[in-house]
Amino acid sequence: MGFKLDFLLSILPRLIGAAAVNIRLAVIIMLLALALGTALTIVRSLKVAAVNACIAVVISFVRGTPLLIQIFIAYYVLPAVGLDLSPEVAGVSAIAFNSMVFVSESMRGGLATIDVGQIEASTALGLPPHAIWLRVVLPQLFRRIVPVLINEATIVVKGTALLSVITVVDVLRTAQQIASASYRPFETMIGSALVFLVINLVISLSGRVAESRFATARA
Amino acid sequence: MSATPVLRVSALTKRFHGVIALDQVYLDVHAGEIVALIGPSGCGKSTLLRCLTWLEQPDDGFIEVAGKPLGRELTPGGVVRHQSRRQIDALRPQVGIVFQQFNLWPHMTALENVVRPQTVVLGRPRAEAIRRGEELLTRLGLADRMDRHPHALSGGQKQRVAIARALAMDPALMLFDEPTSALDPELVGEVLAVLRSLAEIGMTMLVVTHEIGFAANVADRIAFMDQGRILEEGPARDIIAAPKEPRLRNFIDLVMANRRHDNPGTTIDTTE
Repeated sequence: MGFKLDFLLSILPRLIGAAAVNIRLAVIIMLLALALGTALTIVRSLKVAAVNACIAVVISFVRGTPLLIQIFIAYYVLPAVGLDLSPEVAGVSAIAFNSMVFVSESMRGGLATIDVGQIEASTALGLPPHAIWLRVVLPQLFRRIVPVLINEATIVVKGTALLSVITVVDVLRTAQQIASASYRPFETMIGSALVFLVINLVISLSGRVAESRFATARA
Repeated sequence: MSATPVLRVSALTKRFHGVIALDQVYLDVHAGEIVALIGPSGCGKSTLLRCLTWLEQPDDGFIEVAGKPLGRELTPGGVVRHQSRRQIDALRPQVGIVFQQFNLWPHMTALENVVRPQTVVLGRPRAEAIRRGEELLTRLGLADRMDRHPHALSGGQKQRVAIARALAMDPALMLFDEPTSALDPELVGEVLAVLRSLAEIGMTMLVVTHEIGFAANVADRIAFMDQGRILEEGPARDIIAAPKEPRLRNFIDLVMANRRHDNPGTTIDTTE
């Protein structure tokens, strides 16, 4: 059975429709990961030994285990401890948790490049700690890690395809449904790959625009 | 002088891992005075400045700014009470500091560097903060540099932005940490002019420097520090012309000898 372009074109509308699910989930995940990653970074910067030791264990777990297993844990294991989440909520939580760790790790790297002198100057001027974070540290930190965040966003978008295994009807699951109904896996898989490719190209391009814009406004 | 000094430091002591950095430092700075703090490197000058802004917590002793205790106070009952971060932050704008490396915020324009602390710390309306910022930057000769980011400014310009940023908080006292050291030698005169212009408007200043010539030119009084103690202080002219303390005499001789080596053209002007 050969490749049929018109079949691919005929299923694209359905795949693009399903992509709305991936995009919506990816946006929610990235927002959560940014917020939680920032919070985690601030908590870690307080340098409370016991807290940081716990965080280190969590981080090594997240980094050392496959995302797919983490998604399965959120969906199949958490109910056992009384946390019965819908597929979407479980999936979003698992990927956001995973991504939070990577966001926080890259923020920590960026934090080391911010001159302590600036923070001392802020302190000496009387800026309270939260203002130092919000006005001085974070704005610079985010600009510095834009490339990493863009990369992380593309990973998150790809990660949403994994949610098809916990019954979220996303691009991949829609493609699988079409494939099993039409016996044409070739076009459907190519089609779903194309959908992800286009989403990530858009992210990379807009990331590059954002980067060059920030580059002009920074030291 | 009977008036409350702008800065009163008493018995200030600071140790780093058991090594004494400040040893019972006493220093008064009165309104409108420029005091230069000189001494060999590692003598504790910079540590003292850092303690005065509470970036470093002294182990003992007291700091009073315009009559108000900073960081730690002695209650009438004789108990030492430590202030909260909030209380300290409330007093910090009273002490402006200009760091050796200026420490401007690189992600903000020169004007924004001056405006932001006013709105955030003093709660000044933005329009008023901008007016004040523009006025200060203009007075410091930066009218055409306000929209530049720090990376697009020269060292001397960055320093003046840092000065404006501190002045905008209406401090009672300005501290300068080695104001000439991060600049090209030909800019020293410029720094001197800026400090003098501040003196003209009655600003009280404590300037840490290892440049005796600069100290002699700018200061009313000089305090000499060595091994964490202020060993001698007095009117600038007397300190340079007739140092009593042998270590001060050595220090002056040493610096003068180096100076003649490095740039024979520079002489110390003590006639002012």
